[in-house]
Amino acid sequence: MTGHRAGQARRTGRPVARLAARLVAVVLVVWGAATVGFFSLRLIPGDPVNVLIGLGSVSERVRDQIREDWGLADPLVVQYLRYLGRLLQGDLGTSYRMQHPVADVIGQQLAPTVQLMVLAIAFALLLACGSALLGRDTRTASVAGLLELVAVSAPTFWIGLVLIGVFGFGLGWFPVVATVGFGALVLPAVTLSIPVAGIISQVLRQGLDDAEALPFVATVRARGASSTRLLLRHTLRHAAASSVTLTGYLVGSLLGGSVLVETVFARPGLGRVALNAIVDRDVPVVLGIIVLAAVVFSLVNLLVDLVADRLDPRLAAEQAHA
Amino acid sequence: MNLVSVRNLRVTLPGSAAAVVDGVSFSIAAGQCFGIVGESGAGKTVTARSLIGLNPDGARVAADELTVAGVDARNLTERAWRRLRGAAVGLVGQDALVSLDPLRRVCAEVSEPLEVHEPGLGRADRARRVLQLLEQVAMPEPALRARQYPHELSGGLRQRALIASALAGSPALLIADEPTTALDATVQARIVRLLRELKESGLGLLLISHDLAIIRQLADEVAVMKDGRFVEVQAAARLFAAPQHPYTRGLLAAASLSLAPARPPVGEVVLAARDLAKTYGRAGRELRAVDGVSFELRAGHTVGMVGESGSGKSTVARMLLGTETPDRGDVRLHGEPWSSLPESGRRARRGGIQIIQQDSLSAFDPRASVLQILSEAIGLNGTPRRLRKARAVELLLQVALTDALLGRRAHQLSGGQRQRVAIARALAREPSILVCDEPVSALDVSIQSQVLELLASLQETRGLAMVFISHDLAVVRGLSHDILVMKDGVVVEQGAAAALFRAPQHPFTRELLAAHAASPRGRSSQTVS
Repeated sequence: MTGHRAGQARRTGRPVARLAARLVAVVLVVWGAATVGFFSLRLIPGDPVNVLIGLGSVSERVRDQIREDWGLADPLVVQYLRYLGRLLQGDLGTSYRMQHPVADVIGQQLAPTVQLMVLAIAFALLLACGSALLGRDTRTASVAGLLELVAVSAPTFWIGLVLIGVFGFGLGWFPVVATVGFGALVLPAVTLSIPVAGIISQVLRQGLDDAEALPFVATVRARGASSTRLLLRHTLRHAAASSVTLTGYLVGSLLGGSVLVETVFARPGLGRVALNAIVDRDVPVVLGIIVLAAVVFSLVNLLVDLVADRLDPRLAAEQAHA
Repeated sequence: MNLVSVRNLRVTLPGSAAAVVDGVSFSIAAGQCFGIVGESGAGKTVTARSLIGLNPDGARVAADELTVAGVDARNLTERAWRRLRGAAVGLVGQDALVSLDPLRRVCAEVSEPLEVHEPGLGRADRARRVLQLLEQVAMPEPALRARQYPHELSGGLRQRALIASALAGSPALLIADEPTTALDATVQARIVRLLRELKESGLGLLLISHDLAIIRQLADEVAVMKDGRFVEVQAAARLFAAPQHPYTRGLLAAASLSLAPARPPVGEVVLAARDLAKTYGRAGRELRAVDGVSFELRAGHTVGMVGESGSGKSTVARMLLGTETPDRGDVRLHGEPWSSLPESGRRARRGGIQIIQQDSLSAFDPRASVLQILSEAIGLNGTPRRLRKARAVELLLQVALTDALLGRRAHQLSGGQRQRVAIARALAREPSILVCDEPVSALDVSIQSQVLELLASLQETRGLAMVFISHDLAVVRGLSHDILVMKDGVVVEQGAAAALFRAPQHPFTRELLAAHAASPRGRSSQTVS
């Protein structure tokens, strides 16, 4: 067993360095997103002061005072550096509209969206696996293909409305407008998961087909393994290794999809916050959401890379080699 | 009792009316090896797969008798086949890199038949059995290897792991389908030894190979298969001593030529030498180094030039490269003038024809690292500086070296490594022609065969044309499609390799062949004659 430990030690030496490199990449991505977001939002025409004062009218002196207070009178570069400085301390600024710290605004609405997304991912994986397995049998493969096509091409809001109509109003299985409890989460999560499930299923099925064409399959079957065993112990892992990378990107798209779903189902959440902030031109909130999305996106991709390494040891070996 | 008896086996595959296997009969007893030899597409693998019910979907298998391990296997259900597979019959495929699941550790792969056929076995017992199996196939450091993945093992060790996994269900019969094809010669010999030991311990063996040498070393009885039929079935000793069927004789004759390579499709003429002559020295004391050498070299082909030292081979090589101007005749590269051009006219096309020399130690700048050596050649193609290192690593991988060598200098490399670096440097210019002047003469025999294999595989993958120069007939023989035999600056015999070795015309060629056959290497490489 000593040999085995030595082998493990050899393998862990480099992954630490690789993990560090990947974390640096996360920081760079977030910084880039914050920078691009900061400058592009300044391009939106209109005076932030109008947003700050709302509908009331004030004198020019008051306006100048407000600019002074919010630091809007300084040169853009100074504003940018100040923003970065605060960002480093975890301060996302203050909402123009609500006059609350952006972190609080986001924090209050984070939980419902996270719940929604986590459940949607779980559903998506479940549905994708189900449909991919359905597609294994030549008799049901065309059914699986059709389901995938519908899932991928149907618009989210339409799926949402259909689900509400059937399971909410029609069958009454799930509440239509409730915002608390697991039941209220099911329909939105399913709505969000369906297009994603369609894509994962397609990739998974392709991966399974590719894996079954590999020569080792003959060896496995020659050992007397059943096709179930071949699938669960061998080919599914090959297929997962090729699909898991995609899952990372889809999580990013779920974040965008939550805007639609939260609107359709009238749920609270980040999507709504983002939508309102954009409509109201509440720049600090929009920027805060951009930064948050960048953080989530790059962390998820980091996780996906690590999982992919675990699934396919050859990847880790290649990268250690490179 | 026979482990397997097959009578009049016929297999048709979907999409083709003709039977892939057409009326084949044989039986295998315990401790016996039955070999099937034939070219690819002869139906060898389909025959073998019929014994474990693993032909492609839609295949139709019919037989008067198909008994596997005492079971009539003609109409078995999938479930019944699964009971036989792994437990009664094990399968060893060609290359363990692809025949083992690359995502699973060796221990998981070896123990799978145990999990399938002995579900009652506990985890600890299974682990113990896996170690025993790995020891049985003489795997060094079995506990360590069990934890590794197939890609972390060398080709030979991987193949041992594959054999261990085939043995795990304690089958009475092992099907070995080209079990050594992907391996180097020395590793091949070890795997053959392992298979022989298994056979002697009572295992039945169905051995499939296109390689007569392997069949001869293992098989007790041999079937020669062609177009789905056994054209000849004989005890091995008889078959090799007195082949009856013309096809068998043809196979044996081809093999006795130390496996002259199969001729690739006719490519375009990339290099043509016409009546080359070169004389050194002043008038009165002239040395006719080369006189009247002509040949054509086609893409993907190798012209072998054999002769003793001083016979003018290297002079020809220099004229081909354009580093020496012929006194008479000319060399044309890709149909255009080459030797007649001034050097300035040749320079732009120099990359297309590269040389590999015998002594690579002196062919490298002793102070340059491998990276510098390769980068220089890469840079000549106009590759930007920042991309050169990546390209150098790529080249090293192509010649089966690793980037660990990038920082070494020529004298810090072994002879084999150095010659591989020389090949990598030649490849850096992306040539269509390689001139190899005694490329392996300074190397040990085992390293020689590795470098030769590398050259052959590069030729196959890149369609390289090669001029291969050696004093060693064995070396030239394994690679060349056409041969020039040179003596005192003159070509004494010239022609297709197979014909030339079968029926040498010139006394000097016969002399060379005789010397080759008498040498210990010659004899061993002529195991099948």
